Amino acid sequence: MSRVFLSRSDLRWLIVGHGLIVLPHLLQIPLWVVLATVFTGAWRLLLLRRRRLPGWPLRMMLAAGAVVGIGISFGTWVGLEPMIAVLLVAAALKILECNTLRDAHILICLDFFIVATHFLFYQSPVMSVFVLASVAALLLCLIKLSLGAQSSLTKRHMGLVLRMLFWSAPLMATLFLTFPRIDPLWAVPTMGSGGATGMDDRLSPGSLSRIARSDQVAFRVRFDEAPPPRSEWYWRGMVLDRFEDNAWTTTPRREIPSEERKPPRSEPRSQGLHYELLQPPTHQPWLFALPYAQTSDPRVAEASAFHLVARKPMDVLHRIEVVSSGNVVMQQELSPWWRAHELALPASRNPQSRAYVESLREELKTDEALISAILDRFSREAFYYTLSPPLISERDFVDEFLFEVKRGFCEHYAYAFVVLMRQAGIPARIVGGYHGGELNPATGTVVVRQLDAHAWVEVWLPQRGWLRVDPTAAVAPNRIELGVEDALADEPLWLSESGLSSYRFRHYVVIDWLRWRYDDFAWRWQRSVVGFDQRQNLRAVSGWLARWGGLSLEIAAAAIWVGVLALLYILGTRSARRTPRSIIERRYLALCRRLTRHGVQRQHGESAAALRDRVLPILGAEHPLVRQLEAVYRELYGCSLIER
Amino acid sequence: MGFLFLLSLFLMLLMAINYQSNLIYALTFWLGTLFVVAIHVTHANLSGLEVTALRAEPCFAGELAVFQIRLVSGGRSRQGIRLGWSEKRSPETAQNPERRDAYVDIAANDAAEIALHYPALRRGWCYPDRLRIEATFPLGLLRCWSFIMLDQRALVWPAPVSISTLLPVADASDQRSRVALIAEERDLAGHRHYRIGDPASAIDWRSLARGQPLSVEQYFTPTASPRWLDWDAIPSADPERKLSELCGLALQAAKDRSAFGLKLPGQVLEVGLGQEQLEQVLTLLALFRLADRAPIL
Repeated sequence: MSRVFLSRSDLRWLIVGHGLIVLPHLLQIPLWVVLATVFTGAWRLLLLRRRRLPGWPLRMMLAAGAVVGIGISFGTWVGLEPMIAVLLVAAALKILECNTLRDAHILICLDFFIVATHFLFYQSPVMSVFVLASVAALLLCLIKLSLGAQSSLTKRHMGLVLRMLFWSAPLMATLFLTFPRIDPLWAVPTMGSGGATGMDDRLSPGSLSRIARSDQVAFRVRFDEAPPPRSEWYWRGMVLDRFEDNAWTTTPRREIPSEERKPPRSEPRSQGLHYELLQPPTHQPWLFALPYAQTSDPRVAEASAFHLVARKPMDVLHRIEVVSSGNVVMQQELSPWWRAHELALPASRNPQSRAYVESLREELKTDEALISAILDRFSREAFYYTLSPPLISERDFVDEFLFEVKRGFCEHYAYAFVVLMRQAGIPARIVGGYHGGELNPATGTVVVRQLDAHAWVEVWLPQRGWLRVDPTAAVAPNRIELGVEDALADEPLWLSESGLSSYRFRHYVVIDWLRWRYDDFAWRWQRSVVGFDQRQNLRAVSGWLARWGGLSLEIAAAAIWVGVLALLYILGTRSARRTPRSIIERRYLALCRRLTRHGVQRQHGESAAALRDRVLPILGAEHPLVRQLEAVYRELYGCSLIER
Repeated sequence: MGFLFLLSLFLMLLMAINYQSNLIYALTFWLGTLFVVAIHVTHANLSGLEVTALRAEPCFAGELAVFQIRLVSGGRSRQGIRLGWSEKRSPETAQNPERRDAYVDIAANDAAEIALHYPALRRGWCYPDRLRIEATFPLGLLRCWSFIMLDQRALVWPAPVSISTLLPVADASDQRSRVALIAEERDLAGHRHYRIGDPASAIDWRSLARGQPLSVEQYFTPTASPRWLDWDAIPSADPERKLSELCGLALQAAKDRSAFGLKLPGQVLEVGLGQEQLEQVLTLLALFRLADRAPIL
C-alpha cells in the first residue's frame, strides 16, 4: 500500500481524540506522564506546517527517558499503574512520529485499548457513558481518516457512528450473554492497594478515623423483606483478637491448632433475614454482613468466628446472597485454647486500668454488672467522640486514653474496652466493620460508605456465647441511632477526603432526589452489568426466553445475528437501487407496465412520443391507454402530442 | 489495518478475561460487532454505484490519455471513493506520479465526472487497465473494491518530431511541390471587428491596448503551394520514425494555416485545411498499418 500522509485536520482530530481518552487516567498516573502527552501533542501541532519530524535518535532518547522515568516514579515496571503509564507514554511518542495513515491507525488502535483500561479503575455508569463517548470520538477519527483530505466531518458522520453503534448493540448483547467466562489465563498485576481505602485486618488508634473521611461506597445491600431497625445495622467484617505490634489483628489460620479450627455449626438457612450483598472489588477477602451470616455461595467460606470470608481476595465485584439469623447463640462452649487466646494481653502494660478493673471486680460479682459499670462510666464522664483525637502513646494507651485524654474515635473506645474486659478475665475481641448506612427510600437499598466504618467489641459470657458490646454507643448514642454524620458533621475533618461529593449536599431536596435516582441506577448497573454472573443471570434470561416463546438462548442469539445481518444487507443494497421518481414518472412507468399486457414493450431509450406512435396502430386513437399516454406526455413536456 | 484492529481487540479480550471485567468484555464485543456492521456499511457505500465510461480524449504517444468517467450515486451518498487503474497490470506505470488516484464524494442522487489519466506509450488505440474503484469509508479498516473493464479507448497519435530544418526545400520546378517545409511569414490582410467565436489568438491585443475597439487580425489564406506530406519523401528508414516526422509536419502545416494533404502507401488524403483536416491526418498516422483499425466512433 502506498504511503498516505495525514492532513492537518486529520492530525488535529487525532490529538483531540487522544487527549479526551487520556483524561480519566489523570487520577492514577503521575502527572508527568500526562504532561508528556500534552507536550508531544502540542509539539506535533507546532510541527504541522513542516513535514520533517524529530529524527529517530531524539525519539529513542525520549522513549528511554520515559522508561527510566516510569521506573523511578513507580519503583517498578510490574503492576497495573506502571503498565498503563507505559501505554500512555508509548501513545504520546506515537503522536510525535505520526505522519502517515498507518501511524494514525496504530495510534487509534492503541487508544481503543487505553479506553478499555479505564474500566479497571472505574465501573460506574458515568464512566461507562464516558467510555462510550470516547469510542464514538475515536470512530469519528477513523471516519475522518477514511475520507479524502478535502472532505471534513459533518453531522451525518456522527449519525453514522450512532447508527453503527445501534446496529451492533444487539449483536454485542448476545456475545456478552453467551461468551463463556473463563478463569484468568495468567496472574495479572492488580491495582496497588495503596490507592483504595477500606477496612483492614489491622486496627490501631487512628486507622479507622482515616477511612471515615471518605464517602466512597463500601458495599450495597438489598433486603428481600423489611430491613431491621437502623441501630441493628452492624456489618461484621473481621474479628480482631490478637494484639501485636501495638495493633489488633486477625489470628492467622495457621496459628490456630487444627482441632480448634472447626467452622461454626450450620443453622437452618430458611429462617432469618435474606438479603443480597454487592461488594465492589477491594482486593481483600473481607465481607461485611449482619450477624450471624451464612451463604451458599461457593466463593465464600464461613470462618470460625461466625463471619464470612471470600476464599480469594476480591478483585472483581461480588454478588452474594446472604441469610442472617440474629438471635443465635454464637459458640456456647469456649475451648481452653480459645479462652486463653481471647484473654491474652501483653503483660505489664496499662497498670492504672488494671487496678481500676480489679477494684470494680471486688464490688461487682457478675460479668454483666461489670460491663454495664464500665459503659456507665463512658457515658457519665466527659468522654468525647471525635475524628481528630490527640496523639496517645502506644505503650500504655489504655491508661492514657481512659484517665487523661478521653477523646477518641470508635477504635479508641473498642481498644480500651477490650483491654479492660480481658484484664477482668472476660474473653473479648474487637470486631471491625461498618455500622449504619443510608437507606434509599425509593428502592430499599442500603448504601454503606467508608465513613460508616466502625469498630466494636464482642465479649463471651458463659451460656450466652459471644455478645456484642458497643462502647461507642455509650459515648455517642446518636452515632448509633442516627448515623455517623449526626455525630461528626461539625468536625473539620468530616468528609475531608471526598471534596465536592454529592453526599455533602444531601440536605437539598432536588440533589437528594437525583442522588437516590442515580444510586438506584448504579445499583442495577452494578448488579446486572458490572457484576454480571453467567450462573446467576443466565438462568433469569433463559427462563424469560422460555416463557416468551420456548426458545433456548443459543437459538435466540443465532436468530438475532441472522436477523440483524440480513436486515443490514437488505438496507445496504436496496435503498441504493431505488432512485426517487416524480409522480408523473411513476404514472408513466405504470402505464408502460399496463401496455405490456397489450403486447407493447417499451424499448430501452424509446421516447414517449415514439411509444405512442407504435401503440397507435395496435390499439387505436380512442383506447383509454393511448389517451392516458397523451395526457402524461402533456404533463411531462407541457405540450400535446398532436400539436407536435 | 483491519488486522491491527482485530489484534487490539484480542488484547482487550485477554484483559477482560484476566481481570474478569464484564465492562471490558462488553466494550470488546461492542467494538468487535461494530467491525462486522462496518463490513456491511463499507459494502453499501459502493453497492449500487453506477459507472459510465464517457469520452476519451486523444493524445500524442508518451503523453497522458484522459478518460472521462461518470459516477452516479443512486439513492445514497458515496464517500471517499477512490478511482485508479489496476496496478498489477501496468507495473511500468505504477511509479508514474502523474497517475494519481482520484478521490471523490458524491451526494445522494447526484453524479460526478472524473478525469483519469493513463499514460499512452505507443500510437494506435490505447486501452486502459481495469478500472479500480475502492473505498475504505467509514472506518478505514476495511476496504471494499471492484475492478471494471471499461469499454473505452483513446486514440494515440504518433509522437510529433520536428524536422523542418533538416529537409531540403522542395524543388520549385516540381509542379507538385512535395513538402513545403519552411514556415512562411504570415501575410496580414487587415482587421475586422470582433465577432463572438473568434479565437483569442486572433485578437489584436496591441490595438486594444491603444484604446481602439476589439478587433481581429485577418490573414491571407495561403493558397499557394499546398503541402503534401509524403511517406516516400521522408528520408528516415524506421517507419515509426517516419510517422512521427509526418506528424510533426502536419502540426507545423496546421500551425502555418496552409493547406496540406497526406500520402501514405496505399492511402491518399486530399489536400484540405483546418482542424478537421489535421485530425484526419493524425488519425490516419495513428492507425497506419495497425491490425486494430476499428473505425472512430
